[in-house]
Amino acid sequence: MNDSWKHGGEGSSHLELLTYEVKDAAMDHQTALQAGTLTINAVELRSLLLEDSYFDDVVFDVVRPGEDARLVHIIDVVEPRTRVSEPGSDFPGLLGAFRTVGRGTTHRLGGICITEVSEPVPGAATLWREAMLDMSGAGAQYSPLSRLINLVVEFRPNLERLRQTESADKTDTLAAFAAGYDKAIRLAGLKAAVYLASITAGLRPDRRETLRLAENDSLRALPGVVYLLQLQATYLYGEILPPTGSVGEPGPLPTIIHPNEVLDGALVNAFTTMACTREATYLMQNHAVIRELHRRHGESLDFRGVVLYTYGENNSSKERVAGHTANLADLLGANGAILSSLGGGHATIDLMLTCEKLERRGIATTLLLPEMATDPEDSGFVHFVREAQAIVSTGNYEQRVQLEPTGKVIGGMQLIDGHQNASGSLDVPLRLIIGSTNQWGASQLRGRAR
Amino acid sequence: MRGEIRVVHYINQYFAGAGGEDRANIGPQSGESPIGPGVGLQRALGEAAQIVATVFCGDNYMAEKGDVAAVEIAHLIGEYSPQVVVAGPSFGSGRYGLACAQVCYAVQRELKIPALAAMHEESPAVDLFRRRVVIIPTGRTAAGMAAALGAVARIAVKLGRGEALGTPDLEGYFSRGERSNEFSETQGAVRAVDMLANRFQGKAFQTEWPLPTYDAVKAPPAVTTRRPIRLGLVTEGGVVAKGNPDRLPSGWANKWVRYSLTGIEDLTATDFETIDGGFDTRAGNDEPDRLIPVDALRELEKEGKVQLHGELYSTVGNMGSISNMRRIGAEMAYELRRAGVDAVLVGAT
Amino acid sequence: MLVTALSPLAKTVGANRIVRGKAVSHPFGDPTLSPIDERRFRRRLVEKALSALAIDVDTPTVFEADPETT
Repeated sequence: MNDSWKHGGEGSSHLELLTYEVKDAAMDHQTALQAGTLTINAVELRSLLLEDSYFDDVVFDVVRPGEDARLVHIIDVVEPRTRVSEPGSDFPGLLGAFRTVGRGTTHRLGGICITEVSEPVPGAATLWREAMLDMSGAGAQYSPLSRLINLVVEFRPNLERLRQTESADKTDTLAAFAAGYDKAIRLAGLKAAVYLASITAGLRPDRRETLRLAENDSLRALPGVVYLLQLQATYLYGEILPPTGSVGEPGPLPTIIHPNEVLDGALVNAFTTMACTREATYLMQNHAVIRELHRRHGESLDFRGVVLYTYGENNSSKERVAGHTANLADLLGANGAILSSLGGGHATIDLMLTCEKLERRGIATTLLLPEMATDPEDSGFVHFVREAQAIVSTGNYEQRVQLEPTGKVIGGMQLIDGHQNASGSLDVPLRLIIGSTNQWGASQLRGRAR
Repeated sequence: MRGEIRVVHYINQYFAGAGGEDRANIGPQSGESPIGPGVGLQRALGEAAQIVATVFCGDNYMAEKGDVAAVEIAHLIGEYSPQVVVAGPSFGSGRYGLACAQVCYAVQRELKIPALAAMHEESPAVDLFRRRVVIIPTGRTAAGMAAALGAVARIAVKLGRGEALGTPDLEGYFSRGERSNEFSETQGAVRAVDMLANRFQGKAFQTEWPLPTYDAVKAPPAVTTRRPIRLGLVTEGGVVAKGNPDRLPSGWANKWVRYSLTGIEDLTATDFETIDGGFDTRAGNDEPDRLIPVDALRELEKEGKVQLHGELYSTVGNMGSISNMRRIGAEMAYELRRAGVDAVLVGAT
Repeated sequence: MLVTALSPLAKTVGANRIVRGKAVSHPFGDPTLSPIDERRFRRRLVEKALSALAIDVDTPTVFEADPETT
């Protein structure tokens, strides 16, 4: 293993993260940040995003915490960032060529996120497509993103492009367009993120953090902790991490990554999954577990690294994924491991198998897991192992919440699930609220026995 | 008159000093003072509440008459106009524990006032009533009486005052087996790292999501008969007669069906199918013996190794709730036992 | 005697005598085999299950079928 990760040598993963706080945002003639107010030149940004011919139009809106506003049909959420020490290296594999991230100097705008919304186009998969966010009222507390200023970018598809696409099979054409449109939206969100963050050039930051897993002698006395991050729908440097093959294909083997890479744009959301546990890019850029382990590194623990794992589609594949994941954690020097899982049936089995293998090796585990019981007396576990004695619950996403009518809806008129009027009062499971049961512990929601 | 809270205490014939097993048949009786452990309970309640009456009854009377007796007792209790009813502590006892829980449940329904019981977690009443009645954990025997009475008194006063109880782990009673969401003071990520830190330091920690505990069923002894084993057949893979005439649902089942196997040498695709919604049914539909092996068993039967019970029992496990599946299993077991089988083969998907 | 492909789960839940079935959707079958071979497989599996009934167990026990049958 390359020790320069930790010894601060040439190419070490030493990340300087500079935060520029945004307290308010508005459209104006010039994109600038002054005294905490971000002004955005909508004409310029629109022009930049419309370079992609998938779009007929993009419409901007700014919503603030506490505002009577609801966002629906959210695709991904991104924090404005740019890597100033290596210009042009943002979100490698997607906006540009591969480059290792997690080192150097990165500027971020704090207190704001870019939220991509769009009605689904014909041919788009609609299962797990809906994701909503209330900025005020009963629903707001259920998402960590309601505390941020959201620059909402509503995308409209260029159906002329769809018409021009030739294909013998109409279904194929629609599906291909939908997939291309979806990816275009994500790339546009990333471009907007870089565009906005670039405004900080030459400005003085509000906060400067050094994120570095420095090696020193005192670390030997501290327990080694590895974080095992289960993913389902994410780009790793532009390559989709889990294969998108059919049921029965084996899951990919796990891999190791430096925590700073997760924080600095190596991971980007690739496709929509359940809103409550969606792997939103913003939540990876600000990964709660990784941030917390960084904070305690050198004080009470030795943060040894991150293992990215998915799940296998059949028994033998699950054994392989779980076994190899445990091996990598052990190899990294774990005395303990935090494991997070997307929850649900399939993925939880791999989580539990991995937990079992680690515990049997004497590596203490703590699991982060959302609940999904629909029946109050249901334990909620699809599979469990006796070794899973330390679980942090991130809440039950089947529990329902009543949302009040809202004065302003952005993204669409009707919910995709059930076609309810999006601006009216709604009775929805937490499953539809983005990040409500975030499996990385970004929120404070949990389940408790009654 | 101590405090404003009136308490009625329910106990059994033994703790009332009326006698042992020989008096287990006595019907409900009452007295207007604490009796037996009630004396200790009154001490624990102090000035906050007064035991205005004790009602006691024989455990067998309760066991035989069940809820009817519990309602009878509830009305007897009601004559004393209590704010709260305490039953037990019954410790590890089976019948007494059930009687206490049933009395509490009847009191809640009939009198609309709170009630609580106290017993050891292995008492069957815990599993059956924890969702409906507040039950406080105690030790296994009356050696733990003092501690039990202290916990009972604390919660009885709260309930008598109309105060809401905190969550089970904080207040000290068996969880209702339900879970619901709440907001913690800290982020999940922080709680996770804290929990791991506690594990490293060997400190006590509490999981936020306890694993289910299933009843430990003692394994029946091996079947050692020389004659062919009489074998019952059960499937939870949704095997039904073709066309599903009994409308067994493909999930969330609350019933089971039975088919005669008389004259049937194997399950054919023309006569049987599976309607289970929880797995790919093609293999089972092509050849239902893959779900429950009637063909292989008939072969073995001809060789004198086994004797098949005359019926196949079938249900669907997919999305089944634990309580429904428990009941279905118990019903099937009752029938199979009546039919005199030695053992049961259960095919599960 | 419980025959299921999910034998680890059955053990955790507390079933006392467990034999591992072939697959979730066909515990007593193997569609990849020829009909004759499949019947032989099924018979062996059933024999295994029946033999377990004659054995005393204290705790949940998985009786592994012969390597050939799984």
